[in-house]
Amino acid sequence: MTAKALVLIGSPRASKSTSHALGAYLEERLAEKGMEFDEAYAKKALASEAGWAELAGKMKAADLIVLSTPLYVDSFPAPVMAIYERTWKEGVPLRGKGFAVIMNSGFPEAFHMNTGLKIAEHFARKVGMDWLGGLAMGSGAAIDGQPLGQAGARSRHAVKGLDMAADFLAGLKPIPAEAKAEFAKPVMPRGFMVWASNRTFRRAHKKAGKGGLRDRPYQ
Amino acid sequence: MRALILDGTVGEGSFDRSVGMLAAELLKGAGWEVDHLLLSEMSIAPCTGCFNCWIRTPGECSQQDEAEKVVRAMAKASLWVYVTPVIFGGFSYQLKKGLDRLIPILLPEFKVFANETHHPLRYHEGFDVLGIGINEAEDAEWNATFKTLVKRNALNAHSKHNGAIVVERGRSFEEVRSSLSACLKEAGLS
Repeated sequence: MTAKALVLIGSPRASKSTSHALGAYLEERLAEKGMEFDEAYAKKALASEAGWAELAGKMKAADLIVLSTPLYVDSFPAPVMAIYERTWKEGVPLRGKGFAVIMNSGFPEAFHMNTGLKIAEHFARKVGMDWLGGLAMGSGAAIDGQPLGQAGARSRHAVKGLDMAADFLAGLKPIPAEAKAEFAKPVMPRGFMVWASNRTFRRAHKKAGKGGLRDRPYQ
Repeated sequence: MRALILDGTVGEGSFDRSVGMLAAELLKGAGWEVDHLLLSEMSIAPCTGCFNCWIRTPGECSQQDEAEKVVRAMAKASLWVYVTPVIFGGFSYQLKKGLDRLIPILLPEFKVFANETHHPLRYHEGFDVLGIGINEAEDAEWNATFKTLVKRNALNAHSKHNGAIVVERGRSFEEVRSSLSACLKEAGLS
């Protein structure tokens, strides 16, 4: 029987997000290895009871669930925490399924996501899933929601890391340390990333923003 | 000295809710003015990740809901107190939906502090952070992750003083009061 993967996108930006770009690339690699895949969005799943039932059904049908999500305040976006809580409290049967996480953030360093990945591991163990590990990358803005094939050299470490991880995830095996290290490699030196990001924000504000970038409306 | 309690517990009269009330009482006793927001009773939508609060309307969120009250109160306080059940070592959805909307408190720019990149703050130089978790029973791994998460939040808030404690459900109020009081002292907040 063909193994099934579900890629769950945690970003509220849904299909326009870097989380989706990373998840979609992994879907292609898993499909090449003979897996069927399905996709779901956290925001849509929580918008209605029908959305929740659909997500629960997709999770039950999957052998492997991969959450691709941004970092929000050192952890997961609130809707992802809601899915963790609800899955656990309602006893959605997930025992024995594989669970892996792909996290990205705007910070240049990948270590900001360590705590989030630990929370994901605790969740997996509590609901009886096999924790297959997490991939974390900084400077997610360098991909900015573009398909990885169009992001050029800025996605080279993400591509290589996901290629390496897919070999293992397709067999429901843990992501090796080499894949995690490759995925986490910075695409540019931190100092340059900080400078480029700050310049991008200043320019974007100059073009479309009101008032000053450092205004304090609630003081 | 103004403290803001971001209360991510649910259930009026529940043990969890009473921990938040106890924290408010202790803080007032230590000389803090206290704002206490019960997030489960507020209409707050999840952050959409649009970053308009950084670019188009600096410091103000585009979504019109009660998160504005949270952001205003956060800007005015010098201490943020989180009260939450410990969920897999993290915060409850109710707390997280409020916390995720704090982006207007931060500036969009990056700056390296102590060899880590963080955002400078739009208000103040730093906010102190106290995390009060509530758990079913002693769970060392979840509790350790919770404390690490509070510590990471405190780094992003550029805290001078911070602390975290996990209260076990079923303890007597006197035990909880004593633990919270010791935690406040240890963190330099009373």
